[in-house]
Amino acid sequence: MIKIKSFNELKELKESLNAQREHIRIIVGMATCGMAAGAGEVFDSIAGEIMRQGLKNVTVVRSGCMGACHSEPTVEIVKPGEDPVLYGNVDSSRAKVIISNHIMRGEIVEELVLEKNYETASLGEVEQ
Amino acid sequence: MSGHKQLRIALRNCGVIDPENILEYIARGGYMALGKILDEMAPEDVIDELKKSGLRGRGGGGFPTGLKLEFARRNEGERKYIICNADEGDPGAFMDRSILEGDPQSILEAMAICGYAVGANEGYVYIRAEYPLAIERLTIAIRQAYEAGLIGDDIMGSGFSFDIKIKYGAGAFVCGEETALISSVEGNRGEPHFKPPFPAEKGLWGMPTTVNNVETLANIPSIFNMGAGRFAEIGTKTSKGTKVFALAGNVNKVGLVEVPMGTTLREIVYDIGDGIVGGKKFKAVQTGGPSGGCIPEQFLDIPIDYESLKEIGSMMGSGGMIIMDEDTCMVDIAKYYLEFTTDESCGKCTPCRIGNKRLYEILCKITKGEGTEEDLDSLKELGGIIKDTSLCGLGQTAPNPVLSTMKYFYDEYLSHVRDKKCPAGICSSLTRYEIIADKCIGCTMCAKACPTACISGKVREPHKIDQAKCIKCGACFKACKFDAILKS
Ligand SMILES: Cc1cc2nc3c(=O)[nH]c(=O)nc-3n(C[C@H](O)[C@H](O)[C@H](O)COP(=O)(O)O)c2cc1C
Ligand code: SF4
Ligand code: SF4
Ligand code: SF4
Repeated sequence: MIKIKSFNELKELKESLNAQREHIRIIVGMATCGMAAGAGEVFDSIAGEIMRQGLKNVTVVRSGCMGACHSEPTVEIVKPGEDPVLYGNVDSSRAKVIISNHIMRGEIVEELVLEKNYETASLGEVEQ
Repeated sequence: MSGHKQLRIALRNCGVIDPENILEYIARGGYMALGKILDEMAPEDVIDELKKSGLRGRGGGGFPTGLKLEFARRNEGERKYIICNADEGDPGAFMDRSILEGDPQSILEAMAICGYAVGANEGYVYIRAEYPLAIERLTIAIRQAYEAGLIGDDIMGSGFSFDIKIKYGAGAFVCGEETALISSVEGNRGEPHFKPPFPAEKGLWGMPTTVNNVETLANIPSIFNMGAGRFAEIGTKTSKGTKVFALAGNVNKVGLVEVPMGTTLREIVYDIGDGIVGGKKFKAVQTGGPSGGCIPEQFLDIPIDYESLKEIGSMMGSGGMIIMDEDTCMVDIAKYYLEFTTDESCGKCTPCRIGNKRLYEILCKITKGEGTEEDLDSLKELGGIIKDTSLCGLGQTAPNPVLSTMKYFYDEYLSHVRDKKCPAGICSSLTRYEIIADKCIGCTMCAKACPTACISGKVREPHKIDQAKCIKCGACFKACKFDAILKS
């Protein structure tokens, strides 16, 4: 990690990070609640499957709580330019189905989709 | 706003970014608020902006955050401190843990902003040792923020320096109270002391100190990014922004929710929580944990904020929200919370140490069917005295669960003391199991299930329970497939 020495450098770093974002993100909810439900295994099997399939444009992310404790483990797929899709009650075998259908063929696995019932406040960019 | 009932500000990054990678936080606008503040705002402007936002403490008290920072700024001190309160001791609450596990950098950024505002260069995160994953992620976050130069010396070349260290909580509920917390950080016993002096005057090591809750802090960078004006448009007249709740109990979708202040309980229970499990009837919602109260159905439609919850005998608290269905006994619930607070009382002052113990004993008596109507009067009277004379918030609020359930569910207390009945069938001493001879086909299932062998009867003939030996375990009730056992 390089040291950020001014506000300008921070702004530039942010820009450059966002410019690189053409990857598909697979986000696994890995807070205490998700871990207790087996999110660790799900993460490992997703990461393993991505390697096995040789998928290069996919990032698997360990994240915090998505709020859906009733349906852990949860996995969210964020494809650039598409609405994110949230899946619930994912286990290792369901994770493989999600990868082969949704990631590789672009078909959403409808029966596992959770309704996302929140909105995130837009971060209202700092005037630059 | 769209049709969604939830709005995420404090939880904006939870479940979105990798909390162990500072670059993901930066890509989402992390440290932009701190950068802008250090670049172009005076400390007084930072305080004014927070005052304008209307942000109030999310740790329970609801004190205006901007004002608190202003007090600490005005008080003279060789050094000043910012403390993040991550003690989160309410049973059932996990809002702060989720924020620390999902977005630890937002807390560090906010602490540095507060430090700049009051003129402090040191901060502590006081976190309970029972949160290993949160501690791990926080530790990684602090290391990365130092490496990136976003905390530490001369942040982003501004000349402002701010250090952050972690302190582990002693595990007692009362250590979350700010004066007890400060004494625990100093290495002393975590006992509260009388206020004034407030921490803003004489806090850690006798220096001006600001103690802020995790969720309060998580809002701060957003306020500067979205603008205090826009933040203040969300919520009610007196309570701005959103509140995170840990929704639990007899509701279909338990979980972490964040709603604008002014949302109704009905929206939370039915729209977000998807209603009561098994289609049962709603009975009450508990907010404010051991310091709060139970809210009955008649208030499901009031917009919730700090003031409205207080008016109806509960409080916002830190955000625990437990939904209770018709099978809940309110006396039993009050007893549960009192047991918790008597266990957690530090014992420093008499009303709390002895008074709450008495309240608990009376409740035990009532749930055993040995209570009288005079006991109900004593509960009320004693509860009032404890509230008025205890030293710290723990004692001052401990009677709330009893007083609020007595206020709204008095009939239930009366059934316990007058008719010796528990209407919900929870208090086992007051429950009676009987076999209805007309319905019993003599299958013997109940007799096989009974651990005390107190059910007698021949095969294919009606059975009978020996009430003297019955321990009211309910095993027979569950075993009978013919609805022949009556629970009352
Ligand atoms: C018994 C007791 C326990 C408390 N526990 C906590 C806690 O776990 N976390 C917290 O933030 N505040 C807790 N508080 C409130 C703190 O004393 C203090 O008001 C709060 O940390 C201030 O932060 P805020 O203004 O951001 O809410 C507790 C208070 C009492 C009386
Ligand atoms: S009210 Fe209870 S917890 Fe608070 S100082 Fe007194 S004895 Fe201790
Ligand atoms: S409640 Fe338990 S102890 Fe009593 S009769 Fe039924 S099985 Fe036996
Ligand atoms: S299980 Fe029910 S039907 Fe069978 S003997 Fe017991 S009470 Fe009678």
